[in-house]
Amino acid sequence: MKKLHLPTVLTFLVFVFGLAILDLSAATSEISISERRKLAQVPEFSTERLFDGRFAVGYAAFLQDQVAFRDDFRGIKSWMERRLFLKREINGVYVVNNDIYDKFYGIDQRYIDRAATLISHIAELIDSDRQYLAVIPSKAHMLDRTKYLLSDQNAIAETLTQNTAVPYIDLMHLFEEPQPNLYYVTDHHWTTEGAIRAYQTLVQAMGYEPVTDYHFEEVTDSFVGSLYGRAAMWSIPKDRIYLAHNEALDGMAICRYATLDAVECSDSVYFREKVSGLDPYDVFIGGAAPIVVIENAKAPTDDELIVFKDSYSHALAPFLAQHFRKVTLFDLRYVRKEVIFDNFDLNGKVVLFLYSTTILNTDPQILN
Amino acid sequence: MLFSSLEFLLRFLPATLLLYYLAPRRFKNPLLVVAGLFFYAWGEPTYVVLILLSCIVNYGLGIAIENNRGNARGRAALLSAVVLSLGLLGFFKYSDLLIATFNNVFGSTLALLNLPLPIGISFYTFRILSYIVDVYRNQASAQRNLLSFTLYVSLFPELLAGPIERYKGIAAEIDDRKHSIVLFAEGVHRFVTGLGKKVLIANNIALLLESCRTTANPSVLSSWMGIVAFAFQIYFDFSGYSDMAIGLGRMFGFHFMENFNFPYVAQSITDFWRRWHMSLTQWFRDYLYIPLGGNRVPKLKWVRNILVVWFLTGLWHGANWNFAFWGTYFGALLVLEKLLIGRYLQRLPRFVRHVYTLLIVLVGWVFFELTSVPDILAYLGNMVGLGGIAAVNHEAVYLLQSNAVLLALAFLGSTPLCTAIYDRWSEKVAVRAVFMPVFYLAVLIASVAYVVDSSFSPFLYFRF
Repeated sequence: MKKLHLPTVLTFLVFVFGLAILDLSAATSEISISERRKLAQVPEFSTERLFDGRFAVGYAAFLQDQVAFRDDFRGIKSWMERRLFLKREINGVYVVNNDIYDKFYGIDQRYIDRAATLISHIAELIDSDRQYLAVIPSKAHMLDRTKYLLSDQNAIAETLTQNTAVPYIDLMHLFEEPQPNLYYVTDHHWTTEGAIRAYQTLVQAMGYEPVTDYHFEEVTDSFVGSLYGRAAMWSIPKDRIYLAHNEALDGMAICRYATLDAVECSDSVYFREKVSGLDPYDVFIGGAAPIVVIENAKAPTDDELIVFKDSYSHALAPFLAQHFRKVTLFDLRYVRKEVIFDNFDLNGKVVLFLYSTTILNTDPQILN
Repeated sequence: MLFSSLEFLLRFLPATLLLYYLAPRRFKNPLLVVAGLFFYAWGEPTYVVLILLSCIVNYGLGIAIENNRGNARGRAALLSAVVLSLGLLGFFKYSDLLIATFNNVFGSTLALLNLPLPIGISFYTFRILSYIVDVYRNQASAQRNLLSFTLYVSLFPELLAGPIERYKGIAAEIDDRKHSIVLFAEGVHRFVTGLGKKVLIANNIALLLESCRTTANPSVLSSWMGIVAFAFQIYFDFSGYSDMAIGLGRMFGFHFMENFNFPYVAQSITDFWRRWHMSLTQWFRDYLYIPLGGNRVPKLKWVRNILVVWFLTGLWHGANWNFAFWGTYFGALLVLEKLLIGRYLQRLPRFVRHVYTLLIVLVGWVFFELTSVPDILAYLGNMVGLGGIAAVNHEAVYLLQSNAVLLALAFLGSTPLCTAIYDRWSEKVAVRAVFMPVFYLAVLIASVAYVVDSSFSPFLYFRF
C-alpha cells in the first residue's frame, strides 16, 4: 500500500524541492532578451517596506521575473494555449504560419477624433501648401478579418481624412494583402523593405522620383521584437535587420535632441551599437527622441521636410531624406507643440503627419 | 500569500515541509504556528497583530466559559466573545457599508473609514465563533494550551479562505495526529488537482469573462458566455482553493472538512446549497438557523429564520447590498421550494430540474458579480436581448470558438465524471504508481508555467 503511493509523494517532493533549489541557485539576470525588458531584481529591504507590504510585492515580482527556466515555462504555456486549449490568440497576438501578428481589436473613436483635431490644429498653424497625412496600418491589417477578431483599420484613416483638410496619401492599401517581409516576424514595426515601399508612395505623391538603387547589409540575424516574447513560441525564427546603403544615405548627418540644449550629432543615420541593446530596431536613427534632424548635404533640392511621427518613421526617415536638404522629425509624445513652434520655423516646408494606427488608437500622448 | 504564487510553491511550502518533517514531535505545532503567522504576515504585516490578539482573548474566554458553564459568568464570557468577534468583523468589514447607506438615506456626508479589509477575517472570525459556541454548548472542551488554540485559528492552509473548520472536528488532530505516506499522497492529489483547477481553469476562464464583460459589442451570446464563465471561474477558483487547503492539511496530518460536492449537478436550489461552500452553510445552520429555532417553529417564523440566515449568508460574502440581495434571493427560492414547488419539482425529469437549478444559479451570479442595480439590470437585459442587441455577432462566435476547449473542460470538471473515473481506476498498480504521478508532474509543470506567465490573479474569495 505504502509503496504504491511512494511515486506520488516522490514526484511531488522532487518537483517542489528540485525547482526551489534550482531557482535559488540560478543566477539572476538584468534583462530578458525575449521579452525585451528589464527584469525585477531582489527588492530593497527595510522594515518600513516590510511592514507596508512593498517588500512582499517586490519579492513576488522578483520571483516571477527571475524564476529558473522562465522562458521554458512561458513556452510551455504558449504551447498549451495553442495545442491543448486550441486558443486562437496568445497574450494578445496571433501566430499565423510562423508569423506573429498583433491583435488589433477595438478602435477608441475618442482617440481618433482627438488626433484628427490635433493634426488639423497643427496644420493650420503652419503656413505651407505642401502638407500631407498618411496612416500606417498595424501588421494585422494583412489578416483576414473574418477569421480573426480584428478591427478594420481603414476606419481610422477614414476618420482622419474626413476630419482634417490635410491631403491624404494612402499607404493602407500597400499592406492589405498578406505578403512576407514587409513587417518583421517578431516585431510590430515594418522592415526596411516595408519602409521602402511606403517611401516610394510617399515621395511620388509629394512630386519626387523615388530612388531604387540600394545595396543591403545584414546587421543581425537574431533580432527579436516586441511580439516575440508575447507569442512565447521559441521555434519562430528570429528576424534579420537589413540596413540600406547608397551614396546619399551614407552621406547623411544626424542630430538627436534629448532637449533643446542636449543635442548629440553623428555622421551616420544607423546606430550600430544599438543592435546589441534591448531594442535593436533603434539601429535606425538611434531610436526614439523628441526631435531628430537629418541633414543631407548632397540633396538634389533645397526643400525641407517636417515629419510628425512615431517609431515607424525611424526606418523610413533616411529614405525620405534622400530628397530633402533637411528632415526634422518631431515626436509629440516627447515634445510639446508649443516648444516646437517657439523654436523651429515650420513655414514654407513640406510637412508630413505620419502615424501608425496603433499609436493613433492607443496613445493619447500624441495629443500632447 | 496565495497557494498559487511562486513565493508559496518555491519558498514557503518546501521550507515549511522540510522543517516540519525534520522537527521532533513537540516542535511541530509551534513550527506550524510560526509558519501560519508568517504566511499571514507576508500579505498583512500589520493585521497579524489582530489575529494574535483575537487568539489570546478568545483563548481566555473559552476557558472562562468552560469554568462557568451554566452560570451567568459563563454566559457573559460567551456574550463578550461573540460581541468581540462580530464587532471586529463588523468594524473592519461593514462600517463603510453602514456609513454609505446612512449617507444615502439621510443625505449626510459622513466620511468613509476606508479601512483595508484584513485578509481572511470573515473566515477566522467564524472559526473562532465555532470554537466559543462549541465550548459553551459542551460539545468541545476548552483548549487549555494557548499555542494549540493559536494553531487552530492560524493553521495556514485554512487561514485565508477556509474551509471554515468546526473546532470539534479538528480538536483531536491539533494535539495528536498521525502522518503517513498514504495521507501525504492523498494530500498531493488534492493539492495538485486544486492547483490545476485554480491556475489552469479558473484564471484562464476569467479572461473569457473579462472579454465578455468589457466588450464594446455585447450580444445575447456573449452575455450568457460571460455569466457561464463567471460561474466556472468562481467554482474552480474556490473549490480549487479548498482542494489545495484540504491537500495541504493532509500533508501535515490533518483531515479538513469538504467544502464542495459538485454543486452544478444539483437538481434543486436546496440541493445546490448542500453542495456549495458546505462549511459556510453548515456554520450558518449550526450557529444561527438552529439557535433561531430552525424549522421547529410556526411556519411564518420558520420562513423568517430562513430569510434572516440567507440575508446574512449573502452579506457575509461582501460588504455590499448586492450580496445581501443575492443571499435573500436564494433564501426566498428555498422557501418557495420547501413550501410550494418542491414536490412538483421532484416529478419533473432530471434534465428539467438541472436546467431549472442552473438558470437560477446563473441569474444569481449576475447579482453576485455586479454591484450596482443599473449594471445588474443592464446585464440581465442583455441576456434576454433587450435594447436591440444582436443575438450573436462575430466577436461572440470568435470568443466561443477560442474558448470551446476550455469551456468543455470546465463543464466536464464540474461533473463527478473525473472523480468517478479516478475512483474506479486509481487503485490499479499502473495507475497509482505510474499514470497518476506523471499526471501530477504534468499539472505541476503546467501550473507553474501559467503562474510564471500571468499577471497577478488573487483568489476571488479573498475579498470576503
